[in-house]
Amino acid sequence: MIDSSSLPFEVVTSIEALNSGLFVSPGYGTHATRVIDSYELIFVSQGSLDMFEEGCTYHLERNQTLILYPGRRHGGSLPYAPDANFYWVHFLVREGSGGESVVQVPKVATVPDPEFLTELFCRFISDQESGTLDPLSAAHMVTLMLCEVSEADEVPLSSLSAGGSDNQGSTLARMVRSYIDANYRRPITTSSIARELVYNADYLERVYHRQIGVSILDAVHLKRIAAARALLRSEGRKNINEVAFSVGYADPGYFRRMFKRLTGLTPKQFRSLYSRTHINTH
Amino acid sequence: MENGLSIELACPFEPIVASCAVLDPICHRSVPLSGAYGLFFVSRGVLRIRTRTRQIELSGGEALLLRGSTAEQVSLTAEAEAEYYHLRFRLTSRGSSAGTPLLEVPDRARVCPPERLTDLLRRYLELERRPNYSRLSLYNLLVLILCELARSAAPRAGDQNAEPTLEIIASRVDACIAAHYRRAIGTLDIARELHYNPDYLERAYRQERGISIREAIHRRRIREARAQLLLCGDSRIAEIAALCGYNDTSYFRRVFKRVTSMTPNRFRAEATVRS
Repeated sequence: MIDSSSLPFEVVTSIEALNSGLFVSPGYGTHATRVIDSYELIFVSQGSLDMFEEGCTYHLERNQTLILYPGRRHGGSLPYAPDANFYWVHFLVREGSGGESVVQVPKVATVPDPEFLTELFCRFISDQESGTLDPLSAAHMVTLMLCEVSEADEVPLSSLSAGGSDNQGSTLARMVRSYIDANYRRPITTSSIARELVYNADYLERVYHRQIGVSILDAVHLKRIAAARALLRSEGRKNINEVAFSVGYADPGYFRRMFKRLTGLTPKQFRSLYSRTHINTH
Repeated sequence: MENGLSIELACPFEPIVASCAVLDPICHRSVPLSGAYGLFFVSRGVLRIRTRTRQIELSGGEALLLRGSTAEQVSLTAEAEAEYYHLRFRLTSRGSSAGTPLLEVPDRARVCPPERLTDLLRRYLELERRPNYSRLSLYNLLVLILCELARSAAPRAGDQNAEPTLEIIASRVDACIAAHYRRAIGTLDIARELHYNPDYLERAYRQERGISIREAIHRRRIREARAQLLLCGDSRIAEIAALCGYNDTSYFRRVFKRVTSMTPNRFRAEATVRS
């Protein structure tokens, strides 16, 4: 038997999490018009969503979030798009508990790391459905979600850098980025990307590394593994080899090693961790 | 009403270091705790942790939370190649008011399933490496990690109703092996103890772990034998064999050779030279 004692930790939080879910569009109908007594964070994971709150309308695209206030009338401003999916969570904020850190959550934001936010929602909903969600974990998961949203980039990338040469560097980095996004399913390499964009490979590598902080090859792997995470969460029927092929790895063994290196888990473990999610359609 | 939400939150916390490492059996590593908290989680293999007052052996899926008194050193050694996560942090106490919720975290816990913790720890490492990482995010993630340990200590009765997955069955076999490998046990004994048909259990285990139960027992025993050979330089091979569940010393030698590609004596000689 394990000899065990415990350490007490004081935990202070001013957030209280209520419930959460994933909404999948039934292809008809509109979000109900209502007033609720809690805050709501909405995160669009697929398609688009049109909402209003007290006379302001918001058009949300994939990977965008919206914060709704208690006591304000909100609802759908247009019928649901047929392909719309969004996560939602209700929470309360207790006044006056104070603290040295402030989290600033924009009304509407595009999240920088949608994978992390999705996985937080999945974890929350899965624990909620299995009855193992304790209030303290729930509160800290919601706080983490809000922290993620608060790190969102509201300013376009290009206006951040001042110097002319830096501007060119960030334009180049963005070109590489969007090339990878469009082509990661094919067998691409640093030199094939350089050839396609008509740049010297070493130069492109240097510029990209300086701008983004990882090599082009690592960026390709990160993109592929992020796509694999999304597939493993949603496509229960695909086996691991099929997932490997569909995100650009011809060798499933190599895919497994890469996945383990970047996530700490095997694809199978990752799938079992994120396989349960509650869905509502009304 | 185009406004965002601004929330004040406490963040009584200072991160010190976070890492994921693989420790070779020959290596030692020492970690200064000096008043901070240290969290160790083993994702593979076995890690031995020695503090001034105790010696703890952590196997895959187990976590240990230590609170260092002033200038305490912790030394780590591994059995086989152990992969472990390590976080060190300090909590800055604020004048706490009565009624502050207390989170009771066991100092040692087996996390089930371990992936839940691996996933959080991996996120912690990623967040910490971001160029302008948010201390608040890190703190919230740390509390989630502590909550995960707290819930591992209190298994829920309701969970037993669910159909056990192959992974759970395989983990039960592993736990059973870990508890009894020093005695003469076989696949049949384990099946009887866990109330499974032996053939079904064998198939389930092989599908999940890729080796037979018999082989898993051998590997566990040989792992212990390696540790004993390193620790007790002067015991006879026959004694070590008996300690690890082998009554027949020559059989032990053969299995040891097959699993490690070295004889016990050769392994001991090499380890002694290197240390």
